[in-house]
Amino acid sequence: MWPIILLRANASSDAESLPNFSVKCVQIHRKQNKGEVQATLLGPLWALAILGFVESVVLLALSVLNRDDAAVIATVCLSVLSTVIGVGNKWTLNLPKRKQPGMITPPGDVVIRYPNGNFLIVQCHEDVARELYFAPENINYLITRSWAYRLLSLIGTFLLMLGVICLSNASIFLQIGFAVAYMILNAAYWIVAALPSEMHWDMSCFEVIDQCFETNTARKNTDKGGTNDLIEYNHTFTQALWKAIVATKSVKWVKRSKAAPRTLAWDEWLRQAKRLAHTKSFRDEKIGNKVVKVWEVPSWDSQGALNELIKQHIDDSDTD
Amino acid sequence: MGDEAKRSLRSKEAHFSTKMAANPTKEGQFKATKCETFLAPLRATQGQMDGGRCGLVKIWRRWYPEPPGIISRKDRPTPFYGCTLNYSSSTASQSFNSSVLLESLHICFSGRTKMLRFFPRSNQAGYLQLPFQNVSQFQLDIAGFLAILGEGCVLANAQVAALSSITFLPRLLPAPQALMMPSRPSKLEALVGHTTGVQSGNHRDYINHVGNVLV
Repeated sequence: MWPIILLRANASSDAESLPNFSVKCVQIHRKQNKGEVQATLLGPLWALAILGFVESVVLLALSVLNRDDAAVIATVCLSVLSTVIGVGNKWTLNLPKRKQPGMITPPGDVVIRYPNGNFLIVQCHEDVARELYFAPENINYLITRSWAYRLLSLIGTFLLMLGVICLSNASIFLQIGFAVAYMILNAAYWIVAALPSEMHWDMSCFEVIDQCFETNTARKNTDKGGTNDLIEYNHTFTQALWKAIVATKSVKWVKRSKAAPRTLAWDEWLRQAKRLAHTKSFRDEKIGNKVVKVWEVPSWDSQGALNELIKQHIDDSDTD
Repeated sequence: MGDEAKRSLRSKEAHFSTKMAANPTKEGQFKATKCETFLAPLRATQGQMDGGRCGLVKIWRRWYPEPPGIISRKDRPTPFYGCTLNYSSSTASQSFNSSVLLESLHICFSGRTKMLRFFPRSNQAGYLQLPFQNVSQFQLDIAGFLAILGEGCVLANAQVAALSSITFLPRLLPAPQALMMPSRPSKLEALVGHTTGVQSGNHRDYINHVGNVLV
């Protein structure tokens, strides 16, 4: 089971961890009647909780069989403590929903620029963009009042203290049992912490469809149409920005995102890029066993054009 | 261990105490809390006695009566402590064997008589805590520490773990104190980056957590 999970985790690539100046295009739409974003039900975190529960039950049984009162109190305290903490920290995610279904939603394409010069272009409707990228991700706690949370923390702290004291007074046999239980648990938690975070979220209500660029040659070689093969790799930020403009057919966002410097040369470059981007469109291509939207890229040396423009404008730097 | 052996032990104890009282000396006294530190000064002392030759001391602890397997702490009988010394001198090899009924134990050498002495219940400074000899004597009073170790691993996924209802399940949890925070976060942790709407004109100087997890 584990190798399969790890393989799956490798297959889906985090846009931030890609090589610098990569451009990734996806289309996201919401599936009908699929509910909300949740925590994965039978995922690794679920397995950790069950492991802790089983250890707790085993230790309780051993304590009772050995008539070790201290160990019984320790097991009960430390187990109830996790419930107290769970109540205190339980929350629900409240992403904004569409209030009026059936209305026409405008396109709401989103460009995400990562600090390392990567671009992620998301084609989606405005409500999806708002839900995923623009709405504040507020955490709605079950225990909303701060004093109630602190009272729970107080109870939790006392349970922890009592548990630890009783644990130290348990018989050697059960102390060894506790030590082994915590060692196993720590190892399991670290293993789960090493897994990618998308495994803990149930995002099945969204469908992500990969897109790619015409200039990407790797797509021809792939049989399965794996996600990584559809990513556009570039040598410079200028080239990456050019691909992003090709996919969005717009340059207004470049200014808002402050992706390009505000110089005459760059302004001219953006104008040219926009004009050229509109000369081509996209086509659907069958890659592997699925149809992928392929952006046609006009033949333009974006890097060379920029160098040329900078040379032209080198003397009129303070025309403002 | 029968009554005979018990009497024999008592008499030895008395024997050593008497000898010590008759010939009180500070020479070769030492204080140790572990067996390792116990061995070293004994060798040094003996070196002075025997012209450089070293001996070996073995410390043991024995239950009386022998407990049946693993028992709880409160049912445990008083342990015996014992010491066996073998050392070679220029003439002969000697061995002493004694048991004392106390957790504190003094061992003292007399340079003149070359005798090894044990005397229990001493009020003089110095005592010996003996290490375990088998599993039933394994001391693990700090097992409670293990319950509070591992904050890093439990905090890594704490937020999403508390989203599922399984967080209510009573279970063992490493480092529970890490999850009792002075104040809880009010928003999911955003990432560094820029999010810009192409048509809508929206702009954020961060990347939302859920959006980042999805793609």
